[in-house]
Amino acid sequence: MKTWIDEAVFPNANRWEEDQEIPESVLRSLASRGLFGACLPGNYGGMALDSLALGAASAEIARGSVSLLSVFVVHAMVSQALLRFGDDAQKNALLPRLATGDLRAAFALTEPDFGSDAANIACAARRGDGGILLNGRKRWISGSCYADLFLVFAHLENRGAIALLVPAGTPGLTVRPMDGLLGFRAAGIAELTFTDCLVPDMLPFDGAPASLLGPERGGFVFVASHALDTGRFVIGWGGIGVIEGCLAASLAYARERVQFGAPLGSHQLIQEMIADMATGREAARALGMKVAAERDAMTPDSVMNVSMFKYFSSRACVAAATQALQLHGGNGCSPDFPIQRYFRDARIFEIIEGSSQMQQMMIASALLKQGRAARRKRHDS
Amino acid sequence: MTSEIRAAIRGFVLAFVKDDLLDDDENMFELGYVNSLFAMQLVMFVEKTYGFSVPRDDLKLSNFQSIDAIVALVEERLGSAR
Repeated sequence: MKTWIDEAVFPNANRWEEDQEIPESVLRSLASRGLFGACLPGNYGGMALDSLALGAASAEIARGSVSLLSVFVVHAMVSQALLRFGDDAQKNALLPRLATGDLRAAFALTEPDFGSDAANIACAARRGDGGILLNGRKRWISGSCYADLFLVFAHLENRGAIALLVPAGTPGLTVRPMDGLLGFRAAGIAELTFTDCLVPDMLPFDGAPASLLGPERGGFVFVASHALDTGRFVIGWGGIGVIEGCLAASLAYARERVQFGAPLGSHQLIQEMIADMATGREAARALGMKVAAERDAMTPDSVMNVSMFKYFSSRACVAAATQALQLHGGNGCSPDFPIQRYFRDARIFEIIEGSSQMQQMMIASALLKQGRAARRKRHDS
Repeated sequence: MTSEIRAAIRGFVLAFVKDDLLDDDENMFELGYVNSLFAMQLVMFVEKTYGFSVPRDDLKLSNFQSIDAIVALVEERLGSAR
């Protein structure tokens, strides 16, 4: 995989960002390596990677192209949601095709007016003739331009949030690419508009799987939360990959570039930046390995610790990209170097799958409540 | 057995909810006592503690909305496993 990233992904990633598109051949190449089925079990044709292997793969993909990681992660999130909440017909019809990448998926939660406050989404669903009628908009949906299937979250009349599988091309669904973004430019990010979009109860795939995934009222609390946990974990490891890329480029530049008659790396203030990048990478990796083990052991603490990991890793990633840009000077701003791309993408890591501020609030809130529970236990005893 | 299950579940839930005075029959989701991460933690706690995987059809809010509901779910699953 490293060779493929080094030879086919990393050297072309800047151009994909300029084109705002990942070539279809690259997505097929990702599929041929089994990576669309990275975290699906073998009986559905997946690679059955454990969490640490999934994290390592995510870091490598991000080192090559964060846009490619973005396509990878939303597909993994939908796959995980289907694996946990799908019935047999849904799993048998869809998971083997998701594992091969024959079917590509995107995760449609965020809306123009609701980002972090995702529980209050406005997209409306109501029962129609033979299906569910969707009206509303989704925004910032990664992977949309490459997706065959969307997992869409909407409010079903007065019955709470639902998760709905919507094939691309369903009449009433419009996909409008969002161009000129700060980063993730090749990630196929789009706005989805549903205008009296009738999603059939039974989808037009072999086995006619149902479009409704998981329980009514549980679309956000169960399905989206489960998928977002995978998203946060993968993005956390993506941050490590970007730090790795920043550090590798900075080391090479510091060895080769001569200023004031000496290699850049001989200057102590440059060494400070390199030391900070390397330390951030190691600290993020150590936390990533800890939460990977917790996820595989299914410990309840893993949910909160994945938030902590994503928060730490994305912050370390921004710090590393900022230092790498400073170290490279004007060259860091050039499309001839990867640094400008890492710098733009790193900043977005702090926003997607829950902003750093949302992670901070969840972490602090849980700790404050746990402290109170501990005090109550002492009082009770 | 029931009291042990109830005590364990109540202990776990009260480490997370905003109100220490949560009654066993109160709907903690409707009351806004818990955030979206909590449902997942709760499912993992139940599965890890009692050694069964919550079936897809049982993964619904009504089974996790209150301490009473969770106790009933655990007892039913443990009973059916015997």
